[in-house]
Amino acid sequence: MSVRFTDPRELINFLEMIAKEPRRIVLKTISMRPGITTDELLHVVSASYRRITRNALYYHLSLLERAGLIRAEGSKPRRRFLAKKSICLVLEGRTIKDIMILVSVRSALALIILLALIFPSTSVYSTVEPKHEVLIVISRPLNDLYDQGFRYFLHRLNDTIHEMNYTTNFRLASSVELTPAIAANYSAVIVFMPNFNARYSNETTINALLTYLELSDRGMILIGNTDDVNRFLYRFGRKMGGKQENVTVVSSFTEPILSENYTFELNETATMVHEETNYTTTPPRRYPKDYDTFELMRTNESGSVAIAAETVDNSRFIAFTAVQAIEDDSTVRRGSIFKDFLRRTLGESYGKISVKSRDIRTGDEIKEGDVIEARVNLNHTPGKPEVYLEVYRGTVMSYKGEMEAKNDTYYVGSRTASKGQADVVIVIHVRGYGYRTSDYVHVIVYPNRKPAPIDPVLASLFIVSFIATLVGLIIVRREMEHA
Amino acid sequence: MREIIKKFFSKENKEPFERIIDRLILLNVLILIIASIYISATDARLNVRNSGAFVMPIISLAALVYVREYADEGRNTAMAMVLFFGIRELILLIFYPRPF
Repeated sequence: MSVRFTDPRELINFLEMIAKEPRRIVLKTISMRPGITTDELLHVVSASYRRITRNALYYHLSLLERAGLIRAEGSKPRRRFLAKKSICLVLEGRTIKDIMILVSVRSALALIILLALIFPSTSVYSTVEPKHEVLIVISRPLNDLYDQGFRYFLHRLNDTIHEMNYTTNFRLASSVELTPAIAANYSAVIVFMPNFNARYSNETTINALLTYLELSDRGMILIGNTDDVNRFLYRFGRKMGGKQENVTVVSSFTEPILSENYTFELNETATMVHEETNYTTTPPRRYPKDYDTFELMRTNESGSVAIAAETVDNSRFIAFTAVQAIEDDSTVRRGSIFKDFLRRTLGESYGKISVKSRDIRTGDEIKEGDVIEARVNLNHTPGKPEVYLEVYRGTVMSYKGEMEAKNDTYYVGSRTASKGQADVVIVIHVRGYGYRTSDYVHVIVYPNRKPAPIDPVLASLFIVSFIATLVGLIIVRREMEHA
Repeated sequence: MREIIKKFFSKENKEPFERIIDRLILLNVLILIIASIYISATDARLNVRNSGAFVMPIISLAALVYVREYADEGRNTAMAMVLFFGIRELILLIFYPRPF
C-alpha cells in the first residue's frame, strides 16, 4: 500500500498518526510540495485536527527537519517550516526514528558514491602508467575448445597477463583473425606458437606480421618450441628483409611443449581451472604439466618485450630461452644466450654472477655442491629505468638419474616473495650435475613492481588533515550532544 | 553558496561547534594550498600513495561544510566520509601496490 500526501492536511494526519502509534507505520510515501509553511499546517490543525498540540506538531516537524526533509526558519515560538523540495519517501515497517537513520545512511552512501566517482581511479595517480600496447598472437583460434590443453594454456596466459599487467596493456588475438590493420596498432607483437600449425597461419597472418614489422622499429617476439619457430621462420623469416634485428625469438631447445608424450594425471590446479571455466566437454584426463609454471615477463622502455617461459614435467626440464638474433638462413643461433639477452633487454651494463665467487660464463659447468651466489647491480643511469638484478642463492642439487619433478630443477629462493622487491629478478635454474650452464641457465625477468615512492611531506599533510578532521568532528559531535 | 561564505566570515552568532568547524576548514584549505605549492615547486610526484594529501583535505572540506549546514544529521555522514576516505588513503599509502 502506498499513500501519497500532497497537501498539508494529509501530512498533518500522517503526523498525528505517528504521534499516536509511532511504531505502526507500514508503508508510506510522503510527498510534500515545496513551500508548505507551518502557518498553513497550523491552520489546518486548528481547523480540523484539534487533538494534535502545537508542541507535538513542532516535535514531528523537527524530526522531519533533522531528517533533512524540511527547513526551519526563526526561533521556536515563531519558527516556520518550509519543505525544501518535493519529498518522496518510501517507508516500510519503520518508525520515524528509523526513517531518520535511513535518510542519513542513504545520504551518506550517496555522498560516498558520488565522491568515489569524482575520485575514482587509483590509476589516475599511478606513476606506473601503461606505456605499451602489446598484441599477443596465438597461432590458434581462441575458442579452440577441442584442445583442452590449449584452453588451459590460454588460461595460464591470461592469468599471467593480468598479474603482470603493470607497464603494458596486453591484447590477445588469434592468428586466424590477425590483419595488418590490427597489428599496426600495437607497439609490440608477440607471436605465441604452441604447435604452430600452417592451418592457422595463413598468408593474411604472415602479411599482417610483416606489415607490422615494416611499419617501424617496433619489436616482435616469437615464442615457441624450436620446431615451431623453425617452421614459422621457414615461411616467415625470409620475407623479413632487414628487420630481423627487431625480432626476438624465444624458443625452447627441447621437445614441443604440447607434445602428447608429456602427460601426467590431472592435478588440483587443473581441476580448479576446469571448474571455473565450465567446460562443456568432458574433463581432460591429462595435461601437460609444464603449463603450471608458465611465466610471462616484462617489457622494457623501448617497447620490445622480453618473455621467458619455464616448464617442468616429470621427466625433464624444458625451458625457453632468449636467443639473440635470427640469422639469414632462418636458423636460430643460441650462442651467448645469457649476456646477449641481458644486453638486449636491459642495456649494456650488468654485473657479476658467480658460483662460489668465480664468474659464470656461458658454457661453464656447474658441479654438484656448487653454491650459486650472485647479485647483479646495473649501473643506474638517469633517464633509464632503475634496474636491480638479483639472482637467488642456492645449492645445486645432485643429479640422480631419473629425477623427480621437483628435483629436476632446483628453484633457488622464493620467487613469489621477491616480485615486489626488485625491478628485475633473474633466477638461475640449474638442472644438476654435469650439465653446461649454457643449456640450463634460464632467465626470468619480472616486471617493474617497485612501489610508488612515498613523499614524506605529502604523507604528513594527509595524516594531519585526516586526524585533525576526525578529532574535530568527534569534538563537534560532543558539543552538539551537550547543547 | 554566498550564504555559506558570508556565514563563514561573520563572527556573530556562532555556536562553539561552528567555530571548531571553521578552524578545521581553514586548516584543510591551508593543507591543500601547501600541498599544491609543494607539488609544483618540487620533484614530488602525485601518485597513489601521495594522493591522500589532496584527497583528504577535499573530503574533509566537503564533510565539514556538510556538518556546518546540516548540523545534527550531517555529522554522521561527515564522519562516515572522513573515515571511509581516510582509511582508504591510509591503506593505499601503506600497502600500495599490493594491498592484500
